[in-house]
Amino acid sequence: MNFKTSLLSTAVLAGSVLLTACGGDSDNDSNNDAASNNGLDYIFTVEVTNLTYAQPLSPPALVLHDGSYVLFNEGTIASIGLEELAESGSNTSLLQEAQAYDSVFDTLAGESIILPGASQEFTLRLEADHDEELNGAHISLVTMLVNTNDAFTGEKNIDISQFEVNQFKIYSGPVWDSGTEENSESSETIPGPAANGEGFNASRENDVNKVVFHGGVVSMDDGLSTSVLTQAHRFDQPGSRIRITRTQ
Amino acid sequence: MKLKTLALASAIATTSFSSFAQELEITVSNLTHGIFFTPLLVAAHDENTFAFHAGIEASMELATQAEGGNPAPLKTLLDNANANTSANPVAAEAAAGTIDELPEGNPGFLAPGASTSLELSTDAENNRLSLTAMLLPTNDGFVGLDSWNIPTVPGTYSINLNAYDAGTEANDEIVTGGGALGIAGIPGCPGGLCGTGASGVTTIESNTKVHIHRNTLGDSDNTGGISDLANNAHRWLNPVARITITVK
Repeated sequence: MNFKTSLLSTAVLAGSVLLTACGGDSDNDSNNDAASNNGLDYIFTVEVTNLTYAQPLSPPALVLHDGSYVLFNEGTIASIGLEELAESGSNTSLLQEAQAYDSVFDTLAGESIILPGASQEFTLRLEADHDEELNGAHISLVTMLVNTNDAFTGEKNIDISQFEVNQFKIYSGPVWDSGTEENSESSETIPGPAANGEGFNASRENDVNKVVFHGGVVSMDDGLSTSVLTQAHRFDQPGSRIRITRTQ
Repeated sequence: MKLKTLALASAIATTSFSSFAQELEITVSNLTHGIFFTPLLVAAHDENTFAFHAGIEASMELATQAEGGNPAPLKTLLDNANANTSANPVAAEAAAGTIDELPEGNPGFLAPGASTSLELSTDAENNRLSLTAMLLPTNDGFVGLDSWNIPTVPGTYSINLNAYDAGTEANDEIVTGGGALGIAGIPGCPGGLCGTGASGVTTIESNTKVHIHRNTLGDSDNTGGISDLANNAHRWLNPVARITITVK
């Protein structure tokens, strides 16, 4: 985006929002945070669980924003940042894109893979100078199913502005297809451990170039002779579970 | 219910718990094309109790139901935690004469496209609702509802349910007739569309946590191949069931 927007975004970020990534044990951070701000800030935990059988999830990209930001829409073109995440698992470009919007309060980059059946928890904080409705805060998060061409899961535009303390909500994360890479399932194109092939490629040839719900992978066991994937890599909706709790 | 109870409900609602007895009318519909549900287990329990959680290893009791269809051990587990439980509504309806007598060998299956109803009275504190039933023919697939927060407001609520994999048995897709815990194979094929002589889809279960079922693979070979299941009869896409709950 342009220079003016970037500056604005930075100002908002410094003044009001702070996100921290936690490993499995978030207790220490939360306690320290609570002690340092007299318990006035708004604190949320976001737990992401991988519901697939054999699709590791890439380090998630989390975006904290107001109601006007949209990470993507079904039926429309994926941004280059989303394309890169969905094809390679890297969250870097997507979060750089998001930071350029003044509707984005802050972003958080997950740092490690979420294995099938495993969960990761993130803690995010809105400082106390937000109004009672948290300035309309929303969360969007996305992560790649790495043994696919361009599948990703997560959720977008989760409204957290009305959460009461100790309230939690659970969301089922669909699996989308970014529509930016042909689902060849070939060993050259699957970046995950099933093949260690290519990740991001800017070409969008031979695909629909719009985000849609994913139809699943076919796999060699189901007759796709060029596929490097097996029956174990198949999946159904939803691909992830997201549990958001307001802890303070 | 009436005014007194409702007034109490509003007072408690600020802490977001309901803690009074309720009367529920529940209908469960099998939405699949060719998968039977073994005898259903429905339970209202407190928030410290659960039948299953995705991302957590299945209990021995859940595995017993998911691998062989028997809901009794899980019912006992929940009963011992002071849950209000109801098992096998199809058999209860047959006994009451509201549906035809069950044929021999049918302990109370809910057939594809069929529905069954039950009533459940819940004690105070039992404000979470769960449901489990094995999917037949699968190795350890089950339809599940995990700890749905029973509303305090009277009304009719509808929820779509997904197919889970208990993570306790390899999905070899061989119909052996045996359903004992820890024994490979599928215990039965109520719809009669299964083949024989399969060599087996896989011998491993790498994700030992409860997860979203990746679906059956099946094949089109009725006397061999890798699966005894039919790829045009025994697949599904989530959701696989709908539960409708009327809170009186």
